[in-house]
Amino acid sequence: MTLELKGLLDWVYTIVSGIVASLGLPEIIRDVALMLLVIAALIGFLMIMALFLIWWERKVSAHIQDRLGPMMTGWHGWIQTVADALKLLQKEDIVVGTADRKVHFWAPVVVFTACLAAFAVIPFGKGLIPTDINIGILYIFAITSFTVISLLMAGWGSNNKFALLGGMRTAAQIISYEVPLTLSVMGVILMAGTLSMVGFVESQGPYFWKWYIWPQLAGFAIYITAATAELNRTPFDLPEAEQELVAGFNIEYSGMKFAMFFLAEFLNMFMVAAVATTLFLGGWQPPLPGLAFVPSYIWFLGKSLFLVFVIMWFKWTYPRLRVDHLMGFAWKVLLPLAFLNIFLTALGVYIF
Amino acid sequence: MTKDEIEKQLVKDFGEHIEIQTTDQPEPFLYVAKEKYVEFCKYLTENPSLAFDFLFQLGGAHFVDASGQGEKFDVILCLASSKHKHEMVLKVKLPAENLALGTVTGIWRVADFYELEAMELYGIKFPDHPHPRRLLLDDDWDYGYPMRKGWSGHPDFIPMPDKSESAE
Amino acid sequence: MSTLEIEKTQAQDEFIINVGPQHPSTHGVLRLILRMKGEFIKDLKPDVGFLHRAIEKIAENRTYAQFMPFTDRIDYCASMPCNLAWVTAVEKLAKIEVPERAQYLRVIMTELNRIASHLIWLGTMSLDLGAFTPFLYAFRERERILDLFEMTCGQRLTYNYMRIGGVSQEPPQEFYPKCKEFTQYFRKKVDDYEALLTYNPIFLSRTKDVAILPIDVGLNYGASGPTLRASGHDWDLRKIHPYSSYDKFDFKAPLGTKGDVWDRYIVRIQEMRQCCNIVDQAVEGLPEGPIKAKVPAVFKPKGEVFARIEAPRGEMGYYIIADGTTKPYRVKIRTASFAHVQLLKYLAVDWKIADLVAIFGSLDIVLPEVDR
Repeated sequence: MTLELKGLLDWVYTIVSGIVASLGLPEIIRDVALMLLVIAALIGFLMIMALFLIWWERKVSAHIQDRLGPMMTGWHGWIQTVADALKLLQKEDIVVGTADRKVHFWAPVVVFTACLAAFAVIPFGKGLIPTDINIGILYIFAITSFTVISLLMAGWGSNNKFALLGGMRTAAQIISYEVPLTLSVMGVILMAGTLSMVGFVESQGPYFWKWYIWPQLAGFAIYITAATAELNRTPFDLPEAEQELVAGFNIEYSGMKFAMFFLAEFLNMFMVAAVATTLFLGGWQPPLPGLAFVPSYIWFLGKSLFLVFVIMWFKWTYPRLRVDHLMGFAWKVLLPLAFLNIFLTALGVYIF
Repeated sequence: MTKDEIEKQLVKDFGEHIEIQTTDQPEPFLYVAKEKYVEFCKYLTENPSLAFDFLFQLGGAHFVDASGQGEKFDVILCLASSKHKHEMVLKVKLPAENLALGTVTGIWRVADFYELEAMELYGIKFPDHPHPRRLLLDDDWDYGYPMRKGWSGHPDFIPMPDKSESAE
Repeated sequence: MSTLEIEKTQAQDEFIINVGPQHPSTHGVLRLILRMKGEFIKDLKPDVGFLHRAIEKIAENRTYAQFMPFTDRIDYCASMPCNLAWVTAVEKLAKIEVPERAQYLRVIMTELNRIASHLIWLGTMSLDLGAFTPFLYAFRERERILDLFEMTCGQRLTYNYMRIGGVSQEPPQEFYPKCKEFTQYFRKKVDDYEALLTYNPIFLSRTKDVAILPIDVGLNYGASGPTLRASGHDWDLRKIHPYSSYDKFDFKAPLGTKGDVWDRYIVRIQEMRQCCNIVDQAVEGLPEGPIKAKVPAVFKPKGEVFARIEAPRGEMGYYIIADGTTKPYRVKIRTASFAHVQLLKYLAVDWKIADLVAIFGSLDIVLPEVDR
């Protein structure tokens, strides 16, 4: 008796095919219907995850800072994010008169879409990947590059020279850190021999000492560091902090559009953690085969949430890096380390 | 250097332009003539046995006698030395008709803001101040010089009703 | 609002940025107008005066005792030293002998308030640099000091505790053991803050060798207190011209070596430890006796006086002209932040705007002191 969801998915598949067949519609309708159901389920799950993560960030930061965080709304404030979302929905959407309306409107849409689209290839559990394309990790890196466009759109569309400068600086930071990010996973790709996400999970054997984090510790460290920079979180959030001092790319956004940027940041955090779990921590596999009675998605969520916690931990512990140190760090430290990692991994794969 | 030694040295070098004020305080208090003010300040910083290199503050004061006539202004400098441990108070008398004084921002750069403050609160002019501007008051302030005695007040000011006995 | 003619020397590729007067962190209402060339600051003009309350003019209409609550508000983060400056000046003017017990109590309160003021500085500086957590830790410790003050005089921020001739009330009996408890607890907490910040590579990269202040330039700009001691100038008024029995305590005035932002940070951290030492010694050696000298009810001093003390931010002093009536004729208040605001332009030019927050934090400027 297992709590795995494969049985549930098969049952849904049979029901949908049954309905489509009984209505006499072509097979393609069945595929489309299933796809829409999967997308709906995924988006539903991600929205709940985003709300959960925002609550969790507030609690984690509060406890690190020796205070309590939200306590009044529900048990330990768990409905706080829902309350905040409802509040934001009621806010007036103010757009500056001189702003470029189309660009201003589409920027948060783009960032949110890119963020959601990347989840299509994340293996949430055994048989729980929305679609297992054979270039999974390449697809993820391609889609997450969209955030750069949306930041530039946000900066440009506000028609505010400081918003534009803030947007450009953030974009420069993200582009710089994409290089070590992509290179750091090359070691894992060399060891696994595949780009498919399910392939990564299955090539890390069922024992935790076979997970890729041990031979690829440097790759993991580079990945987490570069990913924190990609997310614009402290210690790499100077462009965001300078919004406090001067202006930033999202200064002209209010209400739900601001919430979109905010939610996208948290979902991106979860995505980064999910990818790191898949590549380095064995995905949905338990540390020892004996522990397989705990369903695979629980393992996956547990590992991802632990990495999310680590990323949050960084934010509340370290001060910020200055912009030139930030760029210098990406190009002069992380990039050579990533190359060294690839070289040594290739050597190791060849020898063993 | 003690108070007497400082006073003796200053009288020796600048005798006719300064006037010692007798007080029971341990620091020398003295007046210097308006024309010799900047030169005297330079001398105070450059003389190695005096070495008053720290300008503690520079402020104005407005004196009126009982009838409201006979206005006099003072500019008061409090100086200290970081090498020797002495302090002194230097004052310059200014007549009400000619409220201009040389600037000491070339000698102590901290005097910049103090002179701006004296300019806008008392109306004492420092013609060669490097960048005169408004400091504490509004940019469009034209209701007089607030720190002067008998300032007529801001037209929007509503005073407290005088119901209680005086605060003597 | 005017840009104060900073654009008079603007070149083609420079632009003007306005910082403030509203800030997200607790800097107070200061407006800085910067002329920037790319990332670098080429010129800086502080626009002050948002918090001007004309305290000097008010002083001319209050008696010497009635002016005491106003001194609290000159620097409300450190209001015991502000009280102390006023009473020191008036007692020097009227030659009043303060009983020893009152002097020791004044020292205890001033040093506790120095710790509280440095905690605010620590919190806001690390918040500006992006380390969010020391801010809350510092305020947690500060709550304990404020509890001590509330026990003594009923107030948490502006105490009005000292009187001309002594202090206003005797602290309750449980004050002294709680003081000792606090200093023991606090020394460990300073180690925590140091572990989080002092040798953190990110913090070092933000603060080491940034905005070095040479001693002679600092003196010329009127810098004093920890800002100048960080450059290596051994000048602490508590040791050079001891007042209120500071000469009876054994403490060090920490010195820096270079005068960069890191030195200004480390000097204040070490000062917090030294304050604990002073508080311990004062609590232990507290003599018996009256807490206030006899001062005539109708107090009419005459003369002029210039007195200064070591406030947490630098040197604070008064110049009082007394004309023999119950109210002073002229009171000129000198605060450390007024001089340090002028230092900001010298230090920040040719650094990046991200360094501006570090430099501003290290100077520990509070706006009520600047504007009075």
